[in-house]
Amino acid sequence: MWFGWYSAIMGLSSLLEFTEKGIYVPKGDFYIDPIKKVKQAVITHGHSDHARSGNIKYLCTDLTKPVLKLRLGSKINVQSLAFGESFFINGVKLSFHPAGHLPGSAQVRVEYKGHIAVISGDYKLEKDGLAEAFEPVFCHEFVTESTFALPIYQWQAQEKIIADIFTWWQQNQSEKKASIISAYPLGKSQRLISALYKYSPYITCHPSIENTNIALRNAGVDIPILDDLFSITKNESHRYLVLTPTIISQGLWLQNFPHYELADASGWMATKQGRKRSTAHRHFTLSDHADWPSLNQAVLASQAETVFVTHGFSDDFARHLKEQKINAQSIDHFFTRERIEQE
Amino acid sequence: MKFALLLQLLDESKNDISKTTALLRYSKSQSQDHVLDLFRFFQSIRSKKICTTQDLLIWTKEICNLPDWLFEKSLSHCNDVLDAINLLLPINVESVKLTLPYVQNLYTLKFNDENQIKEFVTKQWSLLDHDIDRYFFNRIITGNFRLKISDLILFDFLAAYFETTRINISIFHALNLLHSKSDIKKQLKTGKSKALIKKFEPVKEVEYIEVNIEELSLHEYYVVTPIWIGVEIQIIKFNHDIIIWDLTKQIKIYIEEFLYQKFKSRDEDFIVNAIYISSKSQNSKSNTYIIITDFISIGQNIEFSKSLQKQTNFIEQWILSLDEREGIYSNECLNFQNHIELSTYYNQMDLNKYVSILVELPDESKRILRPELFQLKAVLLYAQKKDQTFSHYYDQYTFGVLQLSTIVPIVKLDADLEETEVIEIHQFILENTIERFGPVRSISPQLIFNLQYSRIERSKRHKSGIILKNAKIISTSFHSALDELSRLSHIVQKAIMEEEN
Repeated sequence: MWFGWYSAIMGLSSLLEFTEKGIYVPKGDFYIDPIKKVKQAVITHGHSDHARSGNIKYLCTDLTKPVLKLRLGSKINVQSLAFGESFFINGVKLSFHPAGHLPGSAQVRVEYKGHIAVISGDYKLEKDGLAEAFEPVFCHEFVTESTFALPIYQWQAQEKIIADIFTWWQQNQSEKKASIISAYPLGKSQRLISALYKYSPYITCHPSIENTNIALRNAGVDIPILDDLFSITKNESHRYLVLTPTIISQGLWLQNFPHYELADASGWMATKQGRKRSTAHRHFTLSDHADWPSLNQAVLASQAETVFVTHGFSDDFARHLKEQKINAQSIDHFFTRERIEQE
Repeated sequence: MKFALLLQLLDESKNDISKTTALLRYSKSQSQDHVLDLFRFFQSIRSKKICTTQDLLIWTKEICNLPDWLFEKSLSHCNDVLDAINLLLPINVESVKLTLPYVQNLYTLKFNDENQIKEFVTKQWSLLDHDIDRYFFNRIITGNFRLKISDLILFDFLAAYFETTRINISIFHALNLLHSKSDIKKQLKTGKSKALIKKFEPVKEVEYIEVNIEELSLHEYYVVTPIWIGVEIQIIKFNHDIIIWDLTKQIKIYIEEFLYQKFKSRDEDFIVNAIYISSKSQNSKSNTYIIITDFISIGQNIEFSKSLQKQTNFIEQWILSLDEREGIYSNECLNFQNHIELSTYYNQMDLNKYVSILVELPDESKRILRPELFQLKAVLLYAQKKDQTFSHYYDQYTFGVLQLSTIVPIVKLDADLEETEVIEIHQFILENTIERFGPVRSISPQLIFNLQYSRIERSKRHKSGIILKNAKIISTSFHSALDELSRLSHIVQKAIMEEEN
């Protein structure tokens, strides 16, 4: 079942339809970041809320391919494209353009008879030195994320955050404590490794992060080779900065690190409430998503006639865009309504 | 480390170790004088209110130029208005740092009108670092800021800072020596401090056994001390499990009264500051000690606290003069020659406002004499568990006495008995339950208890019409018959007679 409501409401012919399975391109008969199993899935990046298992065919960027194979299994049928390379599916022209979210993350540009739609996936405008820089793409329809779409979310420059992390790391070293940062294993961790390795090579990470590092290294991403976590002795453990997935930031695997201090690196650490929820000792506001000014900037840069908002504060951002005289619509509730109906 | 970051870590950290670490990290880069200033700052009062949160909201709205709904949404998402204000204001380049002197200066600022305040606040917003500094600035100027660091955290911090132990710091804090600005590190490391600490040797743990005066024979007496305040004033026993907190007003008054009694012949008034120390203990028999930290004689217009050296010496002398046996007790001793004299003290307890009299035997064991109380015999009527989750046995009992031919409930008491007795009673309750009302069991009236109480008061809320004050179970009496039960009319009559006397 899919909704044919869009055309009726907007009075426009659109390349996109929003269905229970995700964002659908009917002319090409493929889905972008589908929620449910489909025949042809186009994936913007490897995070689990965008790349799900069970689809018959996958299409993604060259850098996302090894990540998908790592996360969804090596037997998946996946085809990859370089950034900017065009590909036709049932007459619809498709290409990937850098989204800046993490290495290999892409905006999907679809074009049919001169009508262009861009599905941003997750993106950020700030250059982090590892992921390909966000590239504004002209389009008629723009699907944007809105994870941090409130004016309270304004990020500081990455250099300042990294310098703060390094200062904290040095303090811990002087107090004979290891420094443990919990961060998302794909994207944030590699970003931190890449930025902090310039300061000191004493960085190690949990095996789940190292697996992703190996996959990306093999695909050509410049991620430094780190010391093996389990080869580090107790005596030298205080020198190290350990990166770990948030969910397993404490446990037996840390037995070689008798004294340590834990930190969280996330965009949610910007607010006091977010910090309260965290169990870490220190909090660093570092996000791979666009902040409020960047979201507005990206929407304007796309020059889109219609903006669809999803993934976060979609209602609020859509309302704000409407007040800026931009034809915007939140699409989150269509997916959720479908899910609720099913439940 | 930035001062604002220290404030944030102290404000948001959930455990004491993180707070101590933060204090240490900050202090490492500061001078000793600055650390002492910081120490005082954390003991200080709530910040002065320069403007209201509402004012800040209005000014933020003007600067941000956001629609009302988006502004409200941001506030509700943050769940902290001052945090939201900080995040909504534009990001700026830091040109003024939130430092301790800056904050101390904020406490003293004065403004003539609202425009002046607005101008000041908006200017500071544009100068302060948007990350954390501006948030704490907002908290301070709205009078919403006070960071009280517990004594334990401060002791831990100072111990780590001066590379000494928490015990040393505790003693020095207790003796007010840490208020001295000059070279406290030196003080802590000198031989003098060691000599001082040596004096505070631990006292033995004491078990107090309550006795009747008849049970004591004269040749056993060694030291007899009146207890004024219920807690014995002893010289410090320190170990790592101590809890320290400020003396409650009530205990402070007791101590002042005690000292007044001690020095009344000299016709002097005193002000005493003290710290109340109790050792951690799961049972109720925790050890309680009091350290006199400040002793001011008003009568002679000498304020000892002004001259710390003088005060320390004075306290030392005072402690030593308390008892010839190097200050085990600070309470005065009663002199008596025979049993009659002891009985006189005992009978005049109420008149002299003694709570009890402590008798120490030659083997240093203690006996306590309390004023005579009224006694009665009551029967167990109802029983329940004091705590439904943690109580294993029925340990809260309702007792009844005879009124004409019926039994009326008179008092509900906790089982303050030995565990074996409680188990025995528990078994009795299980075997003799008549009815159950939820957690309460109605018991067949057979088991008699000896109770004591200090006085009765009339009450309309109670079925018996009276309340027993300071009631306590003395013993069980499994073999007593119901005929021996006290009668309500007798209890009331006894109280009236006592009142007339």
